[in-house]
Amino acid sequence: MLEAAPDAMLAIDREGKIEVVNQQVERLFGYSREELLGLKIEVLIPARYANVHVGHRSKFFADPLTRPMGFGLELAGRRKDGSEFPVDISLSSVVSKLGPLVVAAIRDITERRRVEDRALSLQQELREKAALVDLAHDAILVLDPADGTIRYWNQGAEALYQYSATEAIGRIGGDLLKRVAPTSFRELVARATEADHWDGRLQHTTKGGDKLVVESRWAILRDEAGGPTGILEVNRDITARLRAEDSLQEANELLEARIDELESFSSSVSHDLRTPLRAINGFVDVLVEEAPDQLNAEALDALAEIRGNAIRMGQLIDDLLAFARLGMHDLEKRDVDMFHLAKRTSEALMKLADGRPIDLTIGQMPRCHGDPSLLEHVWTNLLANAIKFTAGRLPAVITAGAEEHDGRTVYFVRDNGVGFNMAHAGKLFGVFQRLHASDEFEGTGVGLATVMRICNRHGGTAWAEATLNEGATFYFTVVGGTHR
Amino acid sequence: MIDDTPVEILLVEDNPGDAKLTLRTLIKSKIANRIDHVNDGQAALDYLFREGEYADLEPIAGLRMVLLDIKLPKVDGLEVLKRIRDNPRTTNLPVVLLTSSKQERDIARGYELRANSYIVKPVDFAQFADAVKNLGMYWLVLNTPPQARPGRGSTHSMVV
Repeated sequence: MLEAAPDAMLAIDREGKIEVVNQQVERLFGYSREELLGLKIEVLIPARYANVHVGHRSKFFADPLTRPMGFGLELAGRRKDGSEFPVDISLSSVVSKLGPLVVAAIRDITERRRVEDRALSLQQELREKAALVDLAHDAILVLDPADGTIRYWNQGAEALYQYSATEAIGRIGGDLLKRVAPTSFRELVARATEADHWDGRLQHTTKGGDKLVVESRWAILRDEAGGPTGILEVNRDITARLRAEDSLQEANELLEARIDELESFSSSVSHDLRTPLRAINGFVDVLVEEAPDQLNAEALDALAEIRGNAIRMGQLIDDLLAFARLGMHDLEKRDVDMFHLAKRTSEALMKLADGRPIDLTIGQMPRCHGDPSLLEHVWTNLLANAIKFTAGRLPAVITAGAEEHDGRTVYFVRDNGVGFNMAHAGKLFGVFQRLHASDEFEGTGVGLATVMRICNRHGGTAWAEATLNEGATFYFTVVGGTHR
Repeated sequence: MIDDTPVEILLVEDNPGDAKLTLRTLIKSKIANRIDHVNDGQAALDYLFREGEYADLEPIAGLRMVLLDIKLPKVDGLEVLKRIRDNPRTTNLPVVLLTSSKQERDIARGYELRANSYIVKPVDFAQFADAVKNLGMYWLVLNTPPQARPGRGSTHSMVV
């Protein structure tokens, strides 16, 4: 009977002496039957348990109920070679001609333990993955590909849609979330199956009734044969982003409308303010032409003043409008050869010198990234100023170039002109600020304000250093200036 | 250089100061013996196509140039230009646009509509007068107008 049993079986007597063993015992423990018979059972137990075992054994004989041994304990057997292995043992008692015996059925559970351990670690891994999935801010769902029944619902989904996993799982996803999609569920699944995933925007409604727009990605989960077993749906709420984009676009449209308004305002200002000035000039000319005999020198002088002032006001209007327009348009940035820009500008400006000798040097300078037409404006303003304020210097010396200050490229225009008192330097770059009387030097007081504004729009700035009657240096930076 | 043929210019200008001064310049420089002036775009169209209050006048015959302000009441200058170009009788009529500021959009649109020139009216009227004189000279005296193409029933009677 014992030989037929699949498990290793042995019987011991009250003293723990092995009385019966089957073949499986021989195989399991590496002893022959002859070796085992008559030995104490403790020979098959790891030494560290052997002493305790003697006690257990006596108790069992006192209360011999059939039961698994060491329930909840890790049991181990010891082979002849000393190696140990996990075992499962159940005990029963029999009364034989040898007296009462305890029969132990011993099963090697090495393989089972291995499987269990593997299952445990898989479970652990799964738990960790699930925790990760729950950590994600995205709502993650698994749907049944056949009918869209929700099978999994992470914490992100709970947070986004306000339905708990218990409420959601088992419901049809599209119904629960009142899904509004570009096409039917069936079609979405078909597309996802074909391309392995589907990406798109969906509208969902939360438990509280809020409509959400989500960016949704559907991936197909497949079994080993490749058949679809589930739809993994990952949804990211983009409602707030879309709202922000909308309001940004509204703000942009408003801004563009304002700019258009401003532009048409400025062009009508330009038109309407210049027209009367032209009439003033024109009729002064008529007066001078038609009645030269009635006008004495003082009257002619007065008319010349009227003319001059009207023309100056026209210039002022033009400059102010140009200044106002500076802020309205996007910079068209490009790689700019500052050397050539300064050189070309200075050549065009030399006529302002009225033939006066000017020692002009344009030094080498790094290129920069900026709006060439605006940067040309900067050079024009600074070089024209230098020419203007060196009137009367013999020779006038003007140098344009670039230096490096604290790792930044600083462009400059230096002259040996009248300069200014540094105490007034703060006023230099304001609109309509002039440091010289207009009968000394002409100008509308907008030029340097324009320079500052252009530099600011490029992320740079402008400043000046000067000594009264010795000259001035105007510096400016353009962020993005690089050394070659 | 200037021949004796009486030539006609139509000035379309709503600003009385500009109009008066421009007329004076044209007369004084003897570019034109007779210049007609209208105040708005609708009047310009009526004048050119002999409609409305101009319906009873003789067809325009000697008209050789239109000085056309862009900013006009009722019908703006660019629209007037478009109607001039769309009408076979006036399609080749030299038109010089007058504009108060260098509004590039207007100027570009003007050239699309085959404006012959434009003058930015400066604050200094003397400069404007020079520009008007030079352009008047060019378009009325030096420029050879395109010949009327046969077969189109052309009435280029303004072409001398």
